[in-house]
Amino acid sequence: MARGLDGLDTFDPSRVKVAGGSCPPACTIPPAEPAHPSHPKFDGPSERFHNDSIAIGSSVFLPGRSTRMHSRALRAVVVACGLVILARGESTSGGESAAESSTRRLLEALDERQMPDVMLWVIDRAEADPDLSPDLKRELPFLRATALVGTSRTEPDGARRAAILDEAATSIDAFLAVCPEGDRAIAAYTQKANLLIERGRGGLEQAKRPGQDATKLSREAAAFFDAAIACLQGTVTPDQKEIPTVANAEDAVIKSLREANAEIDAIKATAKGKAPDGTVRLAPPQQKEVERLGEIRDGLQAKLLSTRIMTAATIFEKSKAFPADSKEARAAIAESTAMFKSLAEKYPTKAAGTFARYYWGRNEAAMGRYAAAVDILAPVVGLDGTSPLAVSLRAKAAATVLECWLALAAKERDPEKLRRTYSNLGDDLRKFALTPADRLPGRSLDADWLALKYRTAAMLDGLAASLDARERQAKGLLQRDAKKLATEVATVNRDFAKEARDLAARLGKDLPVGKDEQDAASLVADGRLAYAAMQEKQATAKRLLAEGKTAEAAEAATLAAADRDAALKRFEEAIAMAEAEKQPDEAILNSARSMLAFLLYDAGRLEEAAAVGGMLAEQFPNAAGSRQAAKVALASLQQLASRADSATSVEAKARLAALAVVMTRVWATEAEGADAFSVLLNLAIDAHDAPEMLALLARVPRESPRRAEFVLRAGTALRREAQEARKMDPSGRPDEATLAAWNEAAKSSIDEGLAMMARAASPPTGPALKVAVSAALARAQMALEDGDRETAGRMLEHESFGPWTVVRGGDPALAQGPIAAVTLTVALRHFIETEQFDKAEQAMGALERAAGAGEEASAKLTAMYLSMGRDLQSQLESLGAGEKAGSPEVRDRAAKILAGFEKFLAGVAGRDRKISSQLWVATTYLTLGSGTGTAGIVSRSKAEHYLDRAAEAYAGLLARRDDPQASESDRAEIARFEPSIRLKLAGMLEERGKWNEAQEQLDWILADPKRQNTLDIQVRAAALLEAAGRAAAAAGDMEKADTLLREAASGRQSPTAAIWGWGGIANRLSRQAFAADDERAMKAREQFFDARLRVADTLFARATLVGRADRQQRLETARTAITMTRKLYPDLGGPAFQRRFEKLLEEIQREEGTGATP
Amino acid sequence: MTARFPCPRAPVPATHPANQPRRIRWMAAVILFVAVVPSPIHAQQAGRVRLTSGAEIPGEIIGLSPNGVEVETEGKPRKFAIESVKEVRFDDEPDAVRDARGLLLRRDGAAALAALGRIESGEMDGADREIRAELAFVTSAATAREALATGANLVNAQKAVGDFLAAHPRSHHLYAMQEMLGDLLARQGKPAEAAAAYGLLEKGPPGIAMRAATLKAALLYRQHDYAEALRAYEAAARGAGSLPAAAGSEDSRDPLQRGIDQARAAAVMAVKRDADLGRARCLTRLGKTGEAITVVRAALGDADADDDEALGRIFNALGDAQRTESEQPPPAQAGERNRDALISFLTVHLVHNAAAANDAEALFNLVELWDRANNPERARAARRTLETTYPDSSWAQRLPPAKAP
Repeated sequence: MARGLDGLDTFDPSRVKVAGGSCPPACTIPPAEPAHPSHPKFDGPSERFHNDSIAIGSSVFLPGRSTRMHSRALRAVVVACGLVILARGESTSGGESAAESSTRRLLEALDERQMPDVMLWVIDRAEADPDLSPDLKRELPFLRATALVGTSRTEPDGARRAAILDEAATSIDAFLAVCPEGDRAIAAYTQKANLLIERGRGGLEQAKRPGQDATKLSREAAAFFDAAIACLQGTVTPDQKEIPTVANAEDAVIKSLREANAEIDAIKATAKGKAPDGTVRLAPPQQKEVERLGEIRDGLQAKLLSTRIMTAATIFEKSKAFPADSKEARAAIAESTAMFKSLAEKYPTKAAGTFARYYWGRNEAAMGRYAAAVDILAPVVGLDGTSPLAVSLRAKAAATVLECWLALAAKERDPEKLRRTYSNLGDDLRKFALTPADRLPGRSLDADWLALKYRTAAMLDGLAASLDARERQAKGLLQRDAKKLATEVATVNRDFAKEARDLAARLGKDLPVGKDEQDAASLVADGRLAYAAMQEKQATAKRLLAEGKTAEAAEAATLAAADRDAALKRFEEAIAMAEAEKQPDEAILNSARSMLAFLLYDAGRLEEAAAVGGMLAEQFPNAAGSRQAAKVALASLQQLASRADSATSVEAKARLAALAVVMTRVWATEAEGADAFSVLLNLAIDAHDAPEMLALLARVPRESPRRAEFVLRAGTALRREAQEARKMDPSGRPDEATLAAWNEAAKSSIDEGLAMMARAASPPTGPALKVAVSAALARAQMALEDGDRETAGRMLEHESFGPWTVVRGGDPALAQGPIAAVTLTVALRHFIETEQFDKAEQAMGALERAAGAGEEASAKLTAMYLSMGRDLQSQLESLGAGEKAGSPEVRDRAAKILAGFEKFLAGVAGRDRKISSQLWVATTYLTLGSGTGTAGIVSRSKAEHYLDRAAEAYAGLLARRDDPQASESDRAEIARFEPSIRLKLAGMLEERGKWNEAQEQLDWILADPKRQNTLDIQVRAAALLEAAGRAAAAAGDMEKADTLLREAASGRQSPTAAIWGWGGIANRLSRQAFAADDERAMKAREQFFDARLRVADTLFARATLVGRADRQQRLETARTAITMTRKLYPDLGGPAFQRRFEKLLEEIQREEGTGATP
Repeated sequence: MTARFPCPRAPVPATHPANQPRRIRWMAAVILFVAVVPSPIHAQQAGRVRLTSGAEIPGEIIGLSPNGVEVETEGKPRKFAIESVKEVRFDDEPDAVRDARGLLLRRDGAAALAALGRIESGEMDGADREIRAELAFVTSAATAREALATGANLVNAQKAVGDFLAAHPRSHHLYAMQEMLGDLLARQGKPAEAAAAYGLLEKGPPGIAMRAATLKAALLYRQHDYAEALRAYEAAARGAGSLPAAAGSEDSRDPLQRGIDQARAAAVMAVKRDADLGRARCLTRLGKTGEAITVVRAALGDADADDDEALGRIFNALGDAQRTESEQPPPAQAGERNRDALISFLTVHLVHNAAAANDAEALFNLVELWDRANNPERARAARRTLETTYPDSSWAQRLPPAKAP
């Protein structure tokens, strides 16, 4: 590999001074490119370039470097590359427009200030600008790559980060496709190599994690490193005259270098003579041009060296992709070492040679040749420059030397030799290692400094241990420094953090922590230490619990809680300390806040967790840890909102909504925003707030990662709201246009969501499948209502989320339960309507299976049939009430529906004698005949026909109870069903005006004392008395009417049955109705007010019976019933009930002659 | 025309606000007189003239008047119209005066006053009349500039400018100071007096006269009469565009003359640019943001890439229009438009930040735009920069109170 270096013999050695020279090496290397005159700020790209090369190389050496550190080094290289371009004179020529010049300068400034997100906005705008010059347009892909690398630095998700880097590489390829040679191309090749190195390192990091396919990942990493080497390493040999194509950085440099040399030679050939010193004599302009070209050549020479150093470093990096002692690993290290050695020996006084020497020593150390490594690195450790580069290089070399000493000490058994090994750490190096972070060039500890400080601490600790008891004072001083260094490393919490924490903790037992050593950063480090301990104990507790060792698990959990409390205390102290500072370090402060939020949540201090997490989300959304903290706050508030304490719950709900709104704004298109949208939707669903659901649908971004799920849930909820609203009293429900809008929004949302699910690479599973199935079911129902049988069928039978498909698929989570029941009834309805009777039979069979085999099976089955019947009824009512009611089109649709049912019901009734089938036939006939809003669709005679068919079916069933031909099980089942059959018969008889017969059925039911306490039956009984009373009044039988109405209001006692009446119903409901705010209580409250209203209404009806002498008194009683209700329950059960009470009161007062309500 | 003003050197009456229009009319007489009367300077001064095109001409300064500067260079006298002159430097003037004048050109009055504080006692002893006049100019102009930036001490500043004008009626700074007087009056809410002050510029050379039209339009804008201001700006832009100098003169064989012509053209272009930016601001206020953006982009197309001050104003006007556009429907595009505005104001703050007023305006906008972009950290950083770098600026004072963390 030690090929000749083109043109390096002309490199001026006097410009580089190392090992004791007054000028640090890096700053003496001339700039790679002349800076553009209008951009004087960027006059040192070469220094940056070399700096980056070192950074990259160093990372090859250090074990356990974090990816973040890698990316920092990478970013620096990328920045340098970008700035080389920006600073070049080529494209920023004098003719550039103000707009273009401003764009360039803005991009430079944004890059300097590390605002890659804004760089991407600017590049997007520039790309869309038709007036942009071709020069700048060509550079944009390269600049985009720079910005993308910048954004990748803050991306916590590994997969997304890799995707960003891939996009950056693609951008570079696009640039190189149009600009494969020249300075910009050199920078681009280098940048691409760095991206590939970054990917390789990422793969190796991932391979270390448990559960990963390490072999596969390592193989992929090796491929990335090979690709990076191909980007860097040249193929041109020194004797090769022509370079026809360029495909890597080294060849690009060599070609440019040869061109510069050729230009210089060409100018010199025009010389008219020689000076006495032998140099050619040139005219001033030519001399000036030669000097300019000379500077360019010098820059290219430096670049060539740095490229080769980078190649060697990448080869070393590649060695890590193979097992440590493998042939491949050894070969890679050997090749890398030979390259570094060659460069170091050939250019001992040059900056590049010094870099190469460092890497050479580092490689020797990696191969376990510690003594050789120490010797090789001695001149580098002896660098005394104060420039950032000199300090950085010295730190790297010193860290490696310390590693070598520690390795040698670990093998040493002779105490005296051990002490001598530790004593190698001289005062100069000790002092160097103790340099405070804020005095370092980067004002922070990078991986090299962390290694240096930790290893110095370990050396000091070892040296202290080797001292005897009489040297107590010296020992104490050594330990103090060791602890200080270890604490510093632990505080940063990156490389060597664990070792440093252990060392600091061990030293802490010997040396009390002085107050002066406490700062926010060290408190955070201590807090993290306690947190790590807590996690370990929690894991232990979980494991013990899984093993069934409950007592031990509880003990471990208690210990974990103690660690958590210790961590909490540390973070609280750190925050208090940092907040008291004039200019607090926001990164440390917010990191502590984020940890605090989590620990508070873990400790059940939900209020505080929500406050801290919420503050981070709102005030510092872009800080590391804020997303996590926001999620903690969201979870805390959700728990608080679900508490029984009404005041806490209400306040928490309001805060939950406020936080979710912030999160949807800040992270609109990200996972956190999706979570927040989901929370807001849940709140809207709980509150039955359809307008809010519509607003959320408008706000949720197209790019939201959970949009499909969101629109499906919102659409399903909207459909439910529209359905519920239709059941409301007309005076209280939204108008038709609003309900139609809700339905339309529901349809389009569900259609969009299902289309997204259908397009997804893999079909939905788990909870997502449940959401999709529910939505498809709702959509099928809507399609059935619209008469859109094609859509209904498509929805029900979709191959991946069709409810009919899924319910029959065998997934126990979906084949049972409410979704299955509704699916089967909807499918049954659809198949009957479309006359797919074979499938209808299958649906009936599935319904019976879904109902199960227990005692409740028949009841369940009946409930499911009823549900289907209600849907059918609702559909017919809807047809009868719509705008086109009565039109031939509607009549035709209804006729088709009814024809399908009639045909199917007749068939089932005739051939299927199963009780469940007969029940279904009866129930369906009942629902077809008893709808109150189906008059426009089902003629009176037809309705009566259906009711007769139902009564016939029910009577047939009851007859089989005493039929000796029937099986015992059938008779037993009918006996079980008898009350429900009689109830239905009562309903039918009531509908036909056969009051006495209906009452007989109810009396039979109520004869059983157990059934007397069934609320629904009592409601039916009171309603029957009221209806019979009103019918008697209409027929002119005022006495009978009065009696029945009185009994409807106050109840009736007979020897066999007790009817509570509306008053009794209200009394019995009053406690349950106001005991809580849950759904059950709300339902009871509704029934309570309904009963109170009907008490007043029946009183009013009695007052208005013809010929009553006590009319006024009765009217007053009716009025008092309302005013008393209002006095006791001022809200009267909400707006809808208020309107009904007011309306009745107005009628009473009109009858009294007192006018309208005051 | 000048014969009607028999006493051009008579002292200017006291600057009581009630007397402003009369006083201003009187001063017009002075200006018209001095514009035509030869004005040899006390003694020839070595120095140099910096033109608006950026060129510098060294030589002996042999004549200074409100309408121009005469310099003997390479053995020949050269005349420079006042609108093409950016600065006249005297070799013998103290460094502090020169520095202060440079700061004034960046509209940083406070810094200019601070620079003047460096003048040693006795440093001005024996200085020529022109240099003493220059010190008086810089002092009064810096006082006025600071007052305009902060809104404080406006009356004192008005008096300082009035005193300068009374004492130096033939100064080459006459028009600039007259404009500043108008600015001070406008800032005090006296549009009529300000208009009268600007009106005197109308009698100056064509480029200066056009400037007066722009300044009067700005007065209307300040009174929120955007429709009328738009008409006035449009008239000013048309007027500036029709000036012969606007086209420039590239055909002169004499490079210096070519430079002079370019400077004059640049001055006219500057007036036109001011008028165009005024138009854009009016269109923005009238909700015609699309038109405003078109106007500003055209101004950007004509701008000199090295003129940071002008580019700062251009990008601020662009950001203003984009920001307003982002507040208009449809809301779905608000985010993208907000980004456009952010880019414009960032271009001012990070690139064209030489003029304090421009930078302060950009920072003010960045505070709110970053907040809207869900980046409260950057919003707070912009706020901190504005409050610490330009604590006395009107923009800092207009900031809404910070949200408590």
